[in-house]
Amino acid sequence: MSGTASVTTSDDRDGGGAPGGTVRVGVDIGGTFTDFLVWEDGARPQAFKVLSTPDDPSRGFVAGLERAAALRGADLGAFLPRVETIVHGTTVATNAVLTRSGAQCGLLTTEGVRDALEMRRGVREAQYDNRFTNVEPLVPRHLRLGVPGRLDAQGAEIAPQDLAAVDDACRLLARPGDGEPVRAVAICFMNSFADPSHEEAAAARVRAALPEAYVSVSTRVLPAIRFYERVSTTVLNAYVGPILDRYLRRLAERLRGLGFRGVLLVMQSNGGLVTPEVARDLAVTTLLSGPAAGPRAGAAYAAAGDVPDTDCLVMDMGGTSFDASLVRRGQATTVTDGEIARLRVAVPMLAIHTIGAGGGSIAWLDAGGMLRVGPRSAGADPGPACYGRGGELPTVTDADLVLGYLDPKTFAGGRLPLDPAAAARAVRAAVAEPLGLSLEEAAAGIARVVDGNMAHGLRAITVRQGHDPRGLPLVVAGGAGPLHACAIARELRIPTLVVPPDSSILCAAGMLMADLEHEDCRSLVGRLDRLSDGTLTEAWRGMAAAGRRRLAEEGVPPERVEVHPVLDLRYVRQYHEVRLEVPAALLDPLDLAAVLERFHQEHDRLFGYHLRAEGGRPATPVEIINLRARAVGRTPRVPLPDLPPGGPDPGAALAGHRRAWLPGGGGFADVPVYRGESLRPGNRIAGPAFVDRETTTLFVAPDFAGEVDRRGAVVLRASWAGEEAASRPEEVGADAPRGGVS
Amino acid sequence: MSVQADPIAVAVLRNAYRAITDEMSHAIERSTRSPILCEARDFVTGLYDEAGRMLEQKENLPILSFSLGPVCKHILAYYGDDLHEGDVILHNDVFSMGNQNNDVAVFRPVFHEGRLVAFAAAKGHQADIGGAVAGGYNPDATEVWQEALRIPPVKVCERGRLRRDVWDLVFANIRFDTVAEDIKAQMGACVLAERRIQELLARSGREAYEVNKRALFDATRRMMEEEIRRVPGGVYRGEARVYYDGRNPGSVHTIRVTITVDGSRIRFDYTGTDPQTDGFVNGTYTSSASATILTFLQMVDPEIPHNEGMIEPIEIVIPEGTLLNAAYPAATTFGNHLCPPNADAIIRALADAIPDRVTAGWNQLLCSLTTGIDPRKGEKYVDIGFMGLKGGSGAMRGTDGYDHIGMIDASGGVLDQDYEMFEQQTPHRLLRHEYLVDSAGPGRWRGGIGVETAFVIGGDKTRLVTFGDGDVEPAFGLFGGGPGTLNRIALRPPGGAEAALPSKVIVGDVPAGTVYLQEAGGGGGYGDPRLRPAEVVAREVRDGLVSREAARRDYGVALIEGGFRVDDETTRALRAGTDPGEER
Repeated sequence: MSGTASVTTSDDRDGGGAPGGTVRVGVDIGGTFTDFLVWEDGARPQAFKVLSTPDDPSRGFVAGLERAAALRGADLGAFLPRVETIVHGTTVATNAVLTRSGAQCGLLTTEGVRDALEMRRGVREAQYDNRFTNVEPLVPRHLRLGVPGRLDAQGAEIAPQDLAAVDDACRLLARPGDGEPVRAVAICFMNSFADPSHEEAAAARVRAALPEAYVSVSTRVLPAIRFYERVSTTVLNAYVGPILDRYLRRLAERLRGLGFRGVLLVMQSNGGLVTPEVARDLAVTTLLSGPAAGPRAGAAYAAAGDVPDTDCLVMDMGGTSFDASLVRRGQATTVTDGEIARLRVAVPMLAIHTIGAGGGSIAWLDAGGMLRVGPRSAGADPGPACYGRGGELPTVTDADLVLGYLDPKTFAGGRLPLDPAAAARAVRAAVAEPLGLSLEEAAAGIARVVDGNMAHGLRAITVRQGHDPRGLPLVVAGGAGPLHACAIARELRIPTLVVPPDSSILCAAGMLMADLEHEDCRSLVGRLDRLSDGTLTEAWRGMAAAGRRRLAEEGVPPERVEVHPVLDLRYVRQYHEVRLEVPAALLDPLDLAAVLERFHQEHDRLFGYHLRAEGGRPATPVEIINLRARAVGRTPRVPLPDLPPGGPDPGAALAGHRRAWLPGGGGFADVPVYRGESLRPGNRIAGPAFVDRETTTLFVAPDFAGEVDRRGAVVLRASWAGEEAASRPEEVGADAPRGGVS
Repeated sequence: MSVQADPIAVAVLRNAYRAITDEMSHAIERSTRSPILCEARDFVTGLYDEAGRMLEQKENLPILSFSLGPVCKHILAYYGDDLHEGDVILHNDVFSMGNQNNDVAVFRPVFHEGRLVAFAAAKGHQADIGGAVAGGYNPDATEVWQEALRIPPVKVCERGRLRRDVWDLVFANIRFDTVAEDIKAQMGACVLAERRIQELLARSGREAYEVNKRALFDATRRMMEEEIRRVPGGVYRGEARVYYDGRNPGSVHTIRVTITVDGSRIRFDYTGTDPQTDGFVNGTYTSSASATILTFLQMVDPEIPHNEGMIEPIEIVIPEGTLLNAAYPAATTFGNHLCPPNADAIIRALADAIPDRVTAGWNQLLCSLTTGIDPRKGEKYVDIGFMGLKGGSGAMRGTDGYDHIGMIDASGGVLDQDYEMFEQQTPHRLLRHEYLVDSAGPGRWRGGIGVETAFVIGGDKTRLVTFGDGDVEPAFGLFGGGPGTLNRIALRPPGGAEAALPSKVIVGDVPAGTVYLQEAGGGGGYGDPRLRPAEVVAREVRDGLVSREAARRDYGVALIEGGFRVDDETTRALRAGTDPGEER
């Protein structure tokens, strides 16, 4: 990966480039805003946001495309045919799970094990907390139906599938006791990993009986042994499938109707891209579709485009949620033991921690009279009180406005004027008066609480995992992120902040840096030293060729295709495998000794021991379980030249002053405001200061100062930085955070 | 210049410890062979300082955890300054602070710049530990040597070199080769911990590390003292019964505890508990003390860090020669399973003093262990039936019991075998594993629901051992709540009739095709069941968790004929006469 993609927020029409060039668009739909990055051959990328339209997210999507066209002085009909690729990240599936608004589902499973989904293998995560309750299952018990039919552990049929029982179950699911037919059916049978035919037969009957239903078949979603992981993942797929399916269908139709002829790609939770057809069938792989692009983009900025394998923290505070990730050597860790809302997801996802904290988070008082912020969000509709769209509850954005951190006239490029009086009314009524505080104290309190929540979110992926955050640069993203970053950094004693110029659309930018990715898995069980000659090599050649073909069909030119072999290996008698990526050269022809040596090393790194030959004992044999081919279609990077350098004096960018409330008891003061688009590399900025851009405002707190780097990012250092541990921390606990959202 | 504790660094340190013990646990789960370890997680990990004080533990099965600190102190006393970088020490001996023979611990001393700074430890329930019976549970045993190979501390590695003679001596006395490999996995986890601790110290320096560690202990102790102060001062007494010692049918034994709460200290005194038994139903000091600690931890703030500061304000007295602290050379393999009755005694003692912080009785453990030969591989296997043993927890004020959680000694830390892995790792085939209707003790807050398990036994030379309780006395209700159902294990041979098995027996040569049946009962309820919202009861009837009859009988809730809606009028009539002021 080149990591050279850096972009600037630009509203200049002259940045639009010559009409007629091909265009690529990254679109990230969040709960409040839909972010766009539009890149056209030879021109500077453009970043902007439009309000999300949660009732039908494709409306916001199209509104953004219209804006991209308008920026070029074109209408949509002229612009869309020039768009070659649209890469899309969506929180449609995520929000369905987090807000428990997914489809009503039924589950067909083997008779006798219908409770596995709810039992979760008998775990209680908080062992000493007797008030800790189990998760409400996504399928209630009366819709979990066991059917006779059974395979043994090797896949041999013990009892034939009872298709009449499947039909009976379908009748029940078509008319469950209390109303509507189910919209989705999950099918997961015992030992189907060894032979999917029972599941396929049942699926055919379900499709015939319930033609409208989304059908989620376990061996298609996760063809792997372990019943609980498979049933949980398959049910999640069913739960979000109909919603994502309908959304993507509508979106594709709409785009076609408007003249789009290019390729639409969807971001998956593992950071790779797939076609909408794949995403619709494997909806569960999009649970982290939105934030999955963040880590790679964050790493690119932290490294100023030159050192792709960098370590950093990435925070992204949008309107509704706050995502945090720890990037090591340019990548967030991929986990397959992830969870979302305590529900097991066994498909690969990046380790990204999400909490409900954003500009739209609502401030409220709990039963004990304590100030709380979030996780409920006013979203885009009605939005914060200051949007003047009918919202009456105070949000973080309202507090920021009261404190003077936002300019009511220039917010969102002036297209969304804010109403300070409405913000003040809401904060006063819901927080200040009940608590007997002044308006400003109440607003500052809201900011402090949400900052604390976000610091805790970052702590979960660093301190909680035994990583000291203080030596890592924090890349700040999201529309609301730069306003709150200094406070969060102070709380965690993180001395270095990197605020990219287009921080507010980091994930949209990341989408244009992501690659097409397919992983093909083939069960190939046996002792490595006993596989017959050429077995592995032949299998690998076939899978590599298939991977290349598939990417070619998706239009990736051969020079941008890479295929990497991955072996799932273990010592004999073990039950878990080690995922080992090896150079393709070791398989063709097979270099057994080298593969074994890499396995011993990786096993030792992960588990602290190896079973090489030792003290007269032979090495313990190694067996292979799966051979995988990871096919990657590299996406061309968005290149961006350095900005012309300026001197240390930012005076040319000074736009005026704004009265703002300073932290630490400073009260209101006049704070200089710089226009972000006019800053030049080398300009120095000392806090307190604001850097206003169309899509975001950076607040440089009094204890921070810094400089604009050559790509336009503001790099800030805390005045107390010297007091902190200067060295970059090494790994403390190697375990990466579990993927998912809690 | 003296170094001051840095609050953030203290938090980082605490969480680094936790991340290390988590990483160790993950490594063991992912790299062991016995399903007892890699599926069920019947193991724990821990870190201790140079004086054997607890720094952090990963307590998948807490009953194993709280013996690690005492063993660590024993190792320090035993070896004195003869501990070196690269040493690895094995230990299981129940007469030098081990909790159970099968629970074998690995300790690795960790050095920084030549000085001892910590111990990493991992203890797991081994598939076999020698003795008369494969798998270790021997209800016929009267002495420790019939149960197990005793391992007082022994170095299997010295200064980084495997002592092959010692290693071979140990494993020559253990039936399965995989045990040696699983011990290697525990040793590996300790190597990971050593790497991480050395990295920690390299970064912070010894002086700051020590200051922050001490601050962590102090803060933790203050938290625990504060929690103890919330219990009204006084002397409280509780009892619980243990049925059948495995040798004398009909025998009943009583645990007696006197709890004294005095300001910020709490003392558990078991003086008056019945004498030890002739069989293997005997506790060791550390298995019993672990039971006491883990039960009390459920009554305090669950956020208290687990380190030495947490246990300092707790005093435990268990006279030697009693059921809970048997004298040498008693058989004791059952000792871990005296935790449930011990917990019952403590809950009964404290229920009136802290009614909002106790649960009703938990379903007690009743379990089985099968050994035999898997004809698919021609190899022996050992399996503990974790999925079958998970009954419900007791309800508490405001919260129903947790369904299918299992014994209080694990509290949801150990897991069911995954069904498909169960069929890979044993020759058995699962027929059923589902919630057990009407098993929960009724209450305003009901007990946790139990489960029923059925599988077809496959393979040859199958031997089955049952152990546990809850087959005579069910989980008790509190403040008007009802009891849960009893535990039961039965076998149905091919063509034969179903016959229940007593607990604590060995059944040899179980023919292939025999159906194994188990019911794990529900937990006790809390408060008057007639105050439970009728719609909640109706939903549980719809879900098949409560029968219509039980809804009517236990909860006074009637549903409309053929549907799942509440019949309001009948329900009102059924419930009339209940005093609504009688909240508990």
